[in-house]
Amino acid sequence: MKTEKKSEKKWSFFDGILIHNPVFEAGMSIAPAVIIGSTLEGAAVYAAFFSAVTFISLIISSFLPRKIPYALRIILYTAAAAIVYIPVYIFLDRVIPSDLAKLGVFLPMIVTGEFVVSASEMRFFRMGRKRMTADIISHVIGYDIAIIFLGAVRELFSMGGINGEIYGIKTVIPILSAPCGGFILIGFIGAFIRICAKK
Amino acid sequence: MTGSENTAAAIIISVITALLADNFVFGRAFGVSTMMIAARNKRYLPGVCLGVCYFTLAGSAAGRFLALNEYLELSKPYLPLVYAAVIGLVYAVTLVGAFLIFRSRFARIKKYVHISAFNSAVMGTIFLSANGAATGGSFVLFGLCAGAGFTGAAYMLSGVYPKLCSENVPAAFRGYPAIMIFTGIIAMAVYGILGRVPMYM
Repeated sequence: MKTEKKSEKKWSFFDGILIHNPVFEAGMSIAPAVIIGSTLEGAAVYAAFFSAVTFISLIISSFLPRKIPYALRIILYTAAAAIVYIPVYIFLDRVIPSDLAKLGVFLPMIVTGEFVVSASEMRFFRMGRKRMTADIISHVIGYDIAIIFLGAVRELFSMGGINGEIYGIKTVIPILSAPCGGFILIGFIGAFIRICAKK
Repeated sequence: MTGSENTAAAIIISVITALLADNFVFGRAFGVSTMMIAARNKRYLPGVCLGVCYFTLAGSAAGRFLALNEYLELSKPYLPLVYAAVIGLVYAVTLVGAFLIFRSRFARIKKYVHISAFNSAVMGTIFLSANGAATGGSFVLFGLCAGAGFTGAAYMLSGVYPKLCSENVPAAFRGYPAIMIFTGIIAMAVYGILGRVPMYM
């Protein structure tokens, strides 16, 4: 009982945004952050798509009884995400068709991503419903902020501008837009967040 | 050189290319979190790598089947549903098969199956195989290369994992940030070999 109270006190809505950020601290869904998060536009479109599919599918999956065997639960979680994916894709394809087409392989990957498959079981579904909903929102916001921030910084410093607008940055680092630049930047930002969290 | 020797040489060259230049993890960032799980414990490493190789091979074969079957020509919104169904089916069949064949060791094997089945490396393999593997044996080679790339990356990381998580590393960088920077440096070397970012979309 005491430990339960302790863990309740420790939880904060901002965990998913800062000290348990999915990209910078927890290592969840890194592939899109590294590849898509090289331009602001791609990152913003992906963030919108990811948020809708992940949040809705996790809420639906949370209603599945825990009595169902683990192996079957995982299949049902991915199936729920894949079903939610359909209307979200159709809607966004009408609004931003050209942007969505650029995301290719990374959109279908959402349905088997760490949020749906592992974090659901290891973290979200172990909480009460209210806290779970808040925690999912916090982590989704944390992921969106991370990927959009990466997209903006990497595009700005690898191309000297954002979305074709040049901002007069004279020294650009083209390799920052490559996967290696994404990995290294994630590592440094992760360390920076830890230093800030300690202070 | 005979025809079979040529084929064997081509396969070996492709696998080496997958390990060094067109590596799934370093070049495309697929399966990074699974690689970290695999590298964490050297006892689990062979099992997870074997599992991922198995699922990438099965996924590539499934991708090839989906690409060839005209009746299954799918519009984009329905792709994940079909891909998830394929992975789910392979996953369920594998678990049942493992239970029937290795009943005494099933509890251990199922852990590896759980970790290996649902990750971006397998999903990416199905997608890329369905869109790119054109000739007869190319999908086998593609699945093999995807698995080999993951295995190479996981073994590379497992060699330095204890050092990256040791107390010699400053606390802020210890563990995950150091792993990301290490992966980035290796990815930079891979980028240098290939000279471009692999076509992943």
